[in-house]
Amino acid sequence: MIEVKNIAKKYRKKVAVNDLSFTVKTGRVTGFLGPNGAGKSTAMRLMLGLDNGKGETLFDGKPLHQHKHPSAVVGLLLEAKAFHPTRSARDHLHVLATASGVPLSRVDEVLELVGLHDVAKKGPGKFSLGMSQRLGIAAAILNEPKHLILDEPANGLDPEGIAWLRNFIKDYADKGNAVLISSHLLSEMSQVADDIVVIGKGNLIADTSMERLLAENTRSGVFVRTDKPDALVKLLDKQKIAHEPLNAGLKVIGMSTDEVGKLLFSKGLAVLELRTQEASLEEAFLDLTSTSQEYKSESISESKPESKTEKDAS
Amino acid sequence: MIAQIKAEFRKLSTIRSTYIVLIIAVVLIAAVNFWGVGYKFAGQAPPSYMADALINSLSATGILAGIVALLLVTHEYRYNTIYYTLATVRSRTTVLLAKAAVITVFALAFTVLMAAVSVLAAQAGLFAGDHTLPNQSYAVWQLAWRGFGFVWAISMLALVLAFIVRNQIGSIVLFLMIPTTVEGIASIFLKENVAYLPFTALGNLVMTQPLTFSYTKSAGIALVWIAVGYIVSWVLFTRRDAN
Repeated sequence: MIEVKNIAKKYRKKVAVNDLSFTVKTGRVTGFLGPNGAGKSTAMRLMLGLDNGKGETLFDGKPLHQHKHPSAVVGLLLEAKAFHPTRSARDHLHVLATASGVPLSRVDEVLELVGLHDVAKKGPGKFSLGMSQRLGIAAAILNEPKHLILDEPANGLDPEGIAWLRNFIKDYADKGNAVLISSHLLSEMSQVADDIVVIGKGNLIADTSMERLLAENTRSGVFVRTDKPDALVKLLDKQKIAHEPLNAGLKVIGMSTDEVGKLLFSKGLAVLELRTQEASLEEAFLDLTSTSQEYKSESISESKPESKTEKDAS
Repeated sequence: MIAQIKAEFRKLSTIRSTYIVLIIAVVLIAAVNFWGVGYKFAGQAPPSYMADALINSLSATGILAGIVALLLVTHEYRYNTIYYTLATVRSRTTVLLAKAAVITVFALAFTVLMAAVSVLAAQAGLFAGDHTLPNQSYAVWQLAWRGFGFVWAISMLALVLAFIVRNQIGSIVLFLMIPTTVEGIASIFLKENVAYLPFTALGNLVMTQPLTFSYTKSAGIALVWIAVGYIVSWVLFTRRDAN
């Protein structure tokens, strides 16, 4: 288990991580989410003792550097291209294996595992992002660590690589290891993570299970399609039930499928479709972080380009 | 600690730049000694002729050993491998000591190699030019400690500089500028006291005749600088963020 206790980091006046506490449970995959600049990478470096800040992180009850072999406790992937470009992939792993006291035969095992055996003698400087990620994953698992901390490991991976990574991470956690993984690929995260930690502007926004996050999200509701949609809208408005248009029907918020079904039946409206409409992780994430976005892009419809005459006048 | 030293050896021996620097040093020493010392031999020479040529060779190439030391540190920051290095060890001090140990061994090997190349190339030049050298005397121990001392000390200063600056280009520029430009300008103001500055003190160690201070005093001054530099590096290295 990884226990993060009140970690904090300031860069001059800017707070990067603010009193962050959460737990990465053994046997589970914990997704670490946050908008750009939320402080995820800084938090990961703080956890590993790479950055100096406040608070502490305990790996199975002890700070990482109090363990006899830190690399057997946690494997890390913080940067996809953290290698010397002309040192071959095998030599890169040999260096890490030597430092960790891992037999060199393990290097070929992990290269085989991540699918880089054929390019093991090549300098990784010309590797694609996906190949670099694979090398980073090989480095992370070299000493068969108890836990993994992976920052955006799926970036640049091809679909086969993503599927492999998903299965690998799930298997790794199932063996009784704790895995913390950050990613912007939310659909991917929703398939792999059991728990979710969301941060924004360095602060903890949510620390919950994936199931609960989706269930409690305001965008969850009941999708209903009827033969008289106008009548249904009037009915819901009259009863002050929140709803919003969705595809050819409506999403009713704050009611169960049973309640919606009974309501429609009582008013003689034919039910053509009725099902639970769960919020996606993306919706939940956007809701949770709507006020914590450091860098927000303007939607195309909201943007008002200057007219030609205005431009000319200015 | 042993594992870390072995890992540092692997780092040093698995990058191209180490070999490029070695090749440059060998070619430079071989060419200068073959041509200048051997082939173009003027016919008259003191008994220390070969010994002086050897120490001049080390003086000219010591800076290259320093570049290797500098790259051993700055590559880690440039390519972010420092994350792995620091996450693997229990104490950051281990990394500092392991790098110093590896550079010490490298400096020794470099000194022996350059000395051998220097002597062999000069002999080959003499042979090619059909010259006969008068009897030569080699003060072996003095040559050894001054030669190795110079290469080791300049490598250690490079290591210290790299740990403090961390930026590759920045530290290389500083490493080349401090002995030439900075201490050169300082000599205008410090006059004879410039001999207390690290690179000037080291330079004195490889003069054929000692200038301001004795060889031992110059070595002592350089050692003090290295010790102070190491303390500063250690304080910064253990307290700063990884990158």
